[in-house]
Amino acid sequence: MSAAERQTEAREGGVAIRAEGLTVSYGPKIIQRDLNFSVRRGDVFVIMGGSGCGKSSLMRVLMGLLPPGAGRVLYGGEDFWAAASARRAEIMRRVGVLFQSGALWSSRTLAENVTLPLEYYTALPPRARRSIASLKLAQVGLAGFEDYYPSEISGGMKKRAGLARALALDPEIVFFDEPSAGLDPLSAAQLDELILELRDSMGMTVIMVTHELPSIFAVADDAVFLDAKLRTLTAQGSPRELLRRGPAEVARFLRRGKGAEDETTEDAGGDAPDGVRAKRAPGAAI
Amino acid sequence: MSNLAETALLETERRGDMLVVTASGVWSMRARAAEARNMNRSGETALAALSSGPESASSAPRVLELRADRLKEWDSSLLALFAELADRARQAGMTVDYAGLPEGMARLLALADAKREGGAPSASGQAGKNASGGKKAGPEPAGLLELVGGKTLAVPGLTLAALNFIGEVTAGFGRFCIGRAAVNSRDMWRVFRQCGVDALAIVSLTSLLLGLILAFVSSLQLRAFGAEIYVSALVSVSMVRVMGPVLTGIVLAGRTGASFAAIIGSMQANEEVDALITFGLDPVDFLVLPRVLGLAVMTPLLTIYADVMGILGGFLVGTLMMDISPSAYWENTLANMSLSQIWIGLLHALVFGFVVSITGCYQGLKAGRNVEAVGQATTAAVVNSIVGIIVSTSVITIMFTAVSL
Repeated sequence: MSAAERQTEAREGGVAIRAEGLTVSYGPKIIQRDLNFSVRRGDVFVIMGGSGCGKSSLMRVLMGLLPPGAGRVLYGGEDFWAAASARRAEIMRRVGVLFQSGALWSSRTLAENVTLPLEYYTALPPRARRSIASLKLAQVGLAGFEDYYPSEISGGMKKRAGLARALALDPEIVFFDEPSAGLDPLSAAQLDELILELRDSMGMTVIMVTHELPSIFAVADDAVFLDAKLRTLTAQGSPRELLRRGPAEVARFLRRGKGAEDETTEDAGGDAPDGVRAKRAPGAAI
Repeated sequence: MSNLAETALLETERRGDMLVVTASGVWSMRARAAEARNMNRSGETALAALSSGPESASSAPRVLELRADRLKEWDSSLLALFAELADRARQAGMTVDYAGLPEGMARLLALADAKREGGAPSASGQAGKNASGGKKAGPEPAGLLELVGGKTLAVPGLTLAALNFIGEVTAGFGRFCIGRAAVNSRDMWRVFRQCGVDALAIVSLTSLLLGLILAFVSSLQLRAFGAEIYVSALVSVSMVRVMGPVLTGIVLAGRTGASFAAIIGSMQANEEVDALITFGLDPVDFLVLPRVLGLAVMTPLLTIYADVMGILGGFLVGTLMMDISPSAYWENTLANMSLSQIWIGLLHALVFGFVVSITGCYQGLKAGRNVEAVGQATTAAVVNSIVGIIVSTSVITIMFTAVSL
């Protein structure tokens, strides 16, 4: 882990978000403590861990919804939680979020969901805003659904519409809270592909909370593992690395609890994701 | 004969240091009441045999063997009993032998054993069991003193949170005035409609009836003095000054305040409020301000309408049932009405507008992230609004009485 950290240290210039001594807590109840990690620009960064270990809470701290118990979150070197609230709002505008349920504003159509942030943060006329909304919806495969209300579309479509909204302001960093939760395997895989495609074409940094192994192997460049019992981060690295050289607990997680003797089968299954990673060499997206 | 073979039976037998429990007959959860009682009785006998006390340590059985030789049918009713026996036996330091059971039954029991061991960290052993059992039952019900104390201690925190929210809304209003608040104007128009046209019917009905009631009740007393003509003054002044605004406020608390809490609460539950924040949109500016401003405008307007309807109700009773001539009634109404009464009434209305909208929005925003919390927020919004309306009415009334207006 320290080796991985030194590696990221060397590339400090390309760091999108850094956590320093971060403690995630709800009042006196500490969820995770002493988290130190960096997210490289252009990476797909996965926060993994068992259920209830505090993945989503950590993400709420990173995206400015939950103040940390201690420590700092640095956005491009700037201490996010120490900044004034107006400055925080400004930083958040460079960030998009796809919530677990999509969290579309239910009283607005899909197009209006996408145009709302544009309405407040750009000087674009309504027609231009509408055409941006159509473009974003088309990018996530929802062309023609502009005038539907969130209650009229399926769960998978809601997620994609939520993604279109997250991309509305052309964010530099996009957070995904369990994007494949509640989706069938095929839709989940399609969403993973979409995330990679958008990352490659728009050069954004992706931070994702998930415990879906296929997703982790398919998309992650880098990952951290939060231990539910130790209440801290126990490993950082690419999933392949962690599978080979990570702590036993992490390797077990990545093998779905199977023993080391299953390594060969895992390897066979893991080859494709590795190929994918090779194609998307570090920094290719930037 | 066949009937006997189908009776659920559990035989307990000592064989050396082994305790053998043999089940036979039909064990079914769908058994009739009499058989169910029988099953229960034989189960309790077996459990009692297992923990039958005063044997010396040397003569106590060391192995529990579960058997099912002449078993015809079984389901979870027997399985649960066996699991309980096995658990009890292990606690007593015995080993349990499943060899005499059908394979499926033995496997299911073993599965439950494994899950019990791997489950909650404190589930092994009697002491741990007590601890986890205690946790599940929750804290002991608090005594009256503790209850009152807890509620009292919570008051400063709740007051502070509410004041904090009012401060935030005020700051938001400041931003709105200098044009720097991102306000959802669509929500404001919706409030105008909801508290305007949509509320007219219910306000008409309630305030007309309130006017009628006031006229009837006051006429009973005034008739004794032959002063029935003053019904008109009584109805109009009380409607305009207090009853009109209070009635409007209560109707709005039930209709609008509740819907504010429900809408904002469900947005909170669905992470929609979080989504606003991540776009740098302040929920107070975006969601609360349009509702507060909307109600601040609409409550006085609706109150004027309610006043008119109430006076009309009194007019109907006075002219049609008490034989006061319409012109006399009207004269008397005007003679006793003054502009200051109307202003005082409108001040009430404005205050109620703030009370209802701020309470509704506050309850909605602080709702928890689940569906049940939305219901609680709605209830709290209505109850607190109505209490707030009554309390602020008395404060305003005392204030104006003190300056004799």
